[in-house]
Amino acid sequence: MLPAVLFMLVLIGYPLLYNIILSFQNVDLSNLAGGNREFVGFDNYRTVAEEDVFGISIHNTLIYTVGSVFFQVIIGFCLASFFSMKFKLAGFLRGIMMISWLIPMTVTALLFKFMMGSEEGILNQLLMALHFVEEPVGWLSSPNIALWSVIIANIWIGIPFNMLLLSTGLSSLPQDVYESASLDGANWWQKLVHITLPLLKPVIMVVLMLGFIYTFKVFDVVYVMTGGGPINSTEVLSTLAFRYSFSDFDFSLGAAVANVLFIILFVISLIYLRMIKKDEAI
Amino acid sequence: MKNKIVVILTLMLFVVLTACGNSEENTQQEEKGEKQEVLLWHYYTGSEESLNEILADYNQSQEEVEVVAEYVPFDEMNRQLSVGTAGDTLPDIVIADTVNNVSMASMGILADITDFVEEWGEGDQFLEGPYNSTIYEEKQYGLPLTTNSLGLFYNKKLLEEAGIEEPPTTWEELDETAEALTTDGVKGFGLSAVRSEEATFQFYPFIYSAGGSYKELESSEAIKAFNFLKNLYDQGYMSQDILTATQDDLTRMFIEENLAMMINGPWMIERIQENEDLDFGVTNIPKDKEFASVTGGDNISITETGNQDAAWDFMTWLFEPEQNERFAMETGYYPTRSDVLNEADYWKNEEIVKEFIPIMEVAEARGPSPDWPSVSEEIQLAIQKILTDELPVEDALSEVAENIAEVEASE
Repeated sequence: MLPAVLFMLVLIGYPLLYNIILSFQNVDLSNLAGGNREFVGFDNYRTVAEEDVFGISIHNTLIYTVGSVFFQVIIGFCLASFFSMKFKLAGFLRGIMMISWLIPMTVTALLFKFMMGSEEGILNQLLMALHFVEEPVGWLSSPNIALWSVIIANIWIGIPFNMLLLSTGLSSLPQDVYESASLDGANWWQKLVHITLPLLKPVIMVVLMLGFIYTFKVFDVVYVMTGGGPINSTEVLSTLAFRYSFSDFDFSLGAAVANVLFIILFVISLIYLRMIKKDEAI
Repeated sequence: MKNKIVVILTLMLFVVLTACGNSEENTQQEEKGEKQEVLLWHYYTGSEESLNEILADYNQSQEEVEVVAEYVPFDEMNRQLSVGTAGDTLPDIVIADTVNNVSMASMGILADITDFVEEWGEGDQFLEGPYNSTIYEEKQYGLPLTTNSLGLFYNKKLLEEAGIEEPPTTWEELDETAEALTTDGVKGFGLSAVRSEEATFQFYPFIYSAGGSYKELESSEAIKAFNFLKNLYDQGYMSQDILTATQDDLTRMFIEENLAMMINGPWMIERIQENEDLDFGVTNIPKDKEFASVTGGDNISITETGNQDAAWDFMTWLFEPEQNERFAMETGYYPTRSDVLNEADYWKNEEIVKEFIPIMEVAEARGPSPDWPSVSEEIQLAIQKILTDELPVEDALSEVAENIAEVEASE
């Protein structure tokens, strides 16, 4: 027991604590190695809150997360249901689907960047050939669209993972309930709403939760595809923290942003834990 | 089950602890050795082998110092330096982007080598632009190791097909040529407006050429430069994708012949030449008032905590004309000593490469400013705001001028 606790303290507790202390000091490169660190109270949080880009980042992060998770779960669920119909090659095809989960995220992001190019990108060429649009769409170059383009890439990345978890959940559902429902004359919609979804609720909650946490702290996809631009239209909390720390070398500001990110996720985890408890109580 | 976990964790701790112990022993042994070890960080990928050969030559040439190179990815350099500062594991020598030299100096990472250079007495041999990028508050914090600058790359075949004989030399001609070259599948002109240093780098020659500078971005000169580029963008002579295009992306489009002219640097020459069918040339960036360009390249600095005497010994060797020439030649850059650049045959005769020599002469350093990363970020934002019509040119520029003044005053 003791070594495990020690391990946790060293590997998780220390960085967390260090980051919190850092956010209350004024640390840049000149005093990072030691030397005089001043305690500045909530100054960093105040500075960050006053910057427009901070509000924009929170807004973007929320849209990014909710948008991604919503579609990932829905599409993931559809695919999971599809593959749970036991047709030939279902297992094999489901395995193939996992490939997009295996590709390193930066590679996927680069591929989407190419595909979403204005003139040479395959997406625009396709849309224009089919006459859906007349002018090329500025997927990544238009500030109004860029965030959604990054979300689309992220949805694609996350679908297999959601599908896998939901598939496992689906296959563990008791079949006899469905059989008796069929005998009572329930159609597929009634089965879905009254049997599958209620029974699958714990799994769906886990998927939503993991998806939310995983997506909320996204970094690579945004960093590679847009670098936070155009202007600040795709800046999210993680890229903002990165920029403060490693481009401006204002480590304390970066730490403050990272802590805000952490606190939001922490609160959400607490809500989730409570929900589980309630569920179990019933 | 629980017992197993405890055993595994304890084992892991042991491994970690013994690993730490070992590395300490190692350094002790090295210190006992005859030669002093000097650690050098660099981000060369294509030229890593040449660098190692040069280091091997130095290490064999004398008995005092052994230089050991360690590769750090370009994007990671700033991060590694800060981690190194925190963990007290900085190298003795750093090779880094010229534009970071002064900001690193202002943060106290680098050693003041003014006295070393004065005693050495060859400081006046360096090209002025690169040399100025090493000076912070009248003290010297490094030497320019390699240099390069931006020029106009043009596709000769596409120009010919459009009936244009000579590449553009003025903004007016650039506008006309870009228009003539733009067709369904081809964009006439391109430069990078991505949200990173690359955009600042690529826009800067236009600001300089009009007579502006980063300190007076609200001036009519700067406004003129941005208006000119914005017009090229609005007319569709430049792709919308320049907002996300890095210099690598531009080169890719140029090689695919989707882009007829672009701003880029000599480090791309080799990559473009690999496509033998592609007939291209390089010339000065078209001018408003006068030809202008900016310098890129690397500076080499000694760290404050490093072994300064040993590191300086290596640097004086590295900057002997012979080595300066060899290093620049093998890395595909240009030498920083003007005597070498003017006398060596290679840069005078090599196709395309030679075109950059007149450009080097008009190239200036960005900044130099200890706050350059923040200044540059403001400029990147302004570029994107202007191109996407978020703000009119004048408003965006007066906003950025205000922000930059604030950044500079806050230090």
